[in-house]
Amino acid sequence: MTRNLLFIEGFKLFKRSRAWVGPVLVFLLIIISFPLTLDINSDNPPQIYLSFIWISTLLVTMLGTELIFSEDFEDGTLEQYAVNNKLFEIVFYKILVHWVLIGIPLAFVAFLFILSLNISIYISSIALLCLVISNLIFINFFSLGNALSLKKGSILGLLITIPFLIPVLIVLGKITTSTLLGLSLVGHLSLLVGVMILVASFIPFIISFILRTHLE
Amino acid sequence: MIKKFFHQFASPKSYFAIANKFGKPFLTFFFLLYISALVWGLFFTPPDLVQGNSYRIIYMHVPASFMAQILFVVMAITSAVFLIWRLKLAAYVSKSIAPIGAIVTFFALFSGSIWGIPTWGTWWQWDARITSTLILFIMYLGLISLHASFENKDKADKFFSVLVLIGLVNIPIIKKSVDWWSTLHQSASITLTSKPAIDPVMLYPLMFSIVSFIGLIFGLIILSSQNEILKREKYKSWVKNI
Amino acid sequence: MNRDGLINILSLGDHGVYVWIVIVVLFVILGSTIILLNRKIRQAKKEINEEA
Repeated sequence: MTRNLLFIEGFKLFKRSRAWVGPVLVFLLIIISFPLTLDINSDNPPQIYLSFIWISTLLVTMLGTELIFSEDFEDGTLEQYAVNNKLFEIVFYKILVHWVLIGIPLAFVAFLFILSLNISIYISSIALLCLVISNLIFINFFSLGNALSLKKGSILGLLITIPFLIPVLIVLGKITTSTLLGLSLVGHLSLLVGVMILVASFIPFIISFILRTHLE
Repeated sequence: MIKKFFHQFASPKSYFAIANKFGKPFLTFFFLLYISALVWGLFFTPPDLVQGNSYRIIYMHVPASFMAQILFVVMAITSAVFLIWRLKLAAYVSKSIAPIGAIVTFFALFSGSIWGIPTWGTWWQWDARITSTLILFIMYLGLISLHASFENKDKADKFFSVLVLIGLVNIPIIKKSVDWWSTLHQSASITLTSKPAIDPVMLYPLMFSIVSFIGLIFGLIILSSQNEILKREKYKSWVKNI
Repeated sequence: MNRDGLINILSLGDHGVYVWIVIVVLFVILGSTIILLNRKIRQAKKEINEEA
């Protein structure tokens, strides 16, 4: 039964291809426009590109999760789940599906972009790993923001959730510097993974509470 | 006993009656007290050897930065009371703290950057404290706009309280991580913390100004919560009797 | 009162001008908040009385 729900959610998102291909394409466009506004030459420190990647994935994951609950909310599916006490599960699966279909593809696009700049494969694979982890955190928080600002637009959601993501961005910045300096990354990466596990298990609880309040 | 207390004294009606009676004298008292603290700080203390007169901004900046953080904690306490005991009054107070908190935080940022001009030679430094205060300011604004965006104010109260509590968990994390981040840069040229221990001549008026500023801000909160209660309980019967 | 101290801060010298800017802004903010809230409360009370 529960595995069924996961498949249903995955299939639902997969069928609405605009919802998951769109963000990746937007990300691609942003990435294309970045070199156009900055002279690409080998003198630029890789930090610039990495910082650009962190910020733009942050914004694109927000765009990608904008409609995460609104459709199910409007057609009453969410109410069904709430009645059957399946709200937590469904929130968890929705986030998971968004991570697989939006978060991970974004990370790979970013990985290819960094590789294309003649930055070493070590740095780019670290960036890939960080993005895969941090996108799950981003998607969790943005789902929270979207649950709070359901049908009120994503600006409000962004406004209230980005402050919570600032620590994650700082960890990413730290990882950038230590990678470039060739320092050990074990501490930073395990911190990021720890945050991911904590966030991915607690935020769905809060979201299901919020959604229940919406449905009252 | 506790239940009785909640139902008798923590109803919007009795709170409003008390606030209506004592709110304004309370506010006036602390306003005058704060002015006297400023007079003490401005006219009865010698200028600083290094900073000249500009250090006197401390009597406004430090109370404001202190209150900017305390108000969030107070807001979190009232929000928790609202979520746990479903106490309407707590939600009203919580909601009315947010704009005051935003104002105080803005003033803390403003006075800090004015102070920075003569002492640091720049009005802005990306150092840990300033950055986390700026984030706090944005959080207050986010809370206000979240509450304002809902027609159904009962729902808005719940979301507001949930967000305040998540924010409370996050504030220390943000502070710690911003501290950690700022070590990326060269350490700031002058920080408040590295200043040698403050002289009692300046310390006593500073303490006095902090205490009176706390009272002043709580007076403002009483006033703004009265406004909130009137707005929300407009159609209740008890309001007709005031 | 220390006469020199008074002259010193009132003459705006020695960076005193920054102090006065902050004081003015503080009292403008505080004053306008208090006035605005008082006006809102008075208005709300008036509306309620009219309805009653």
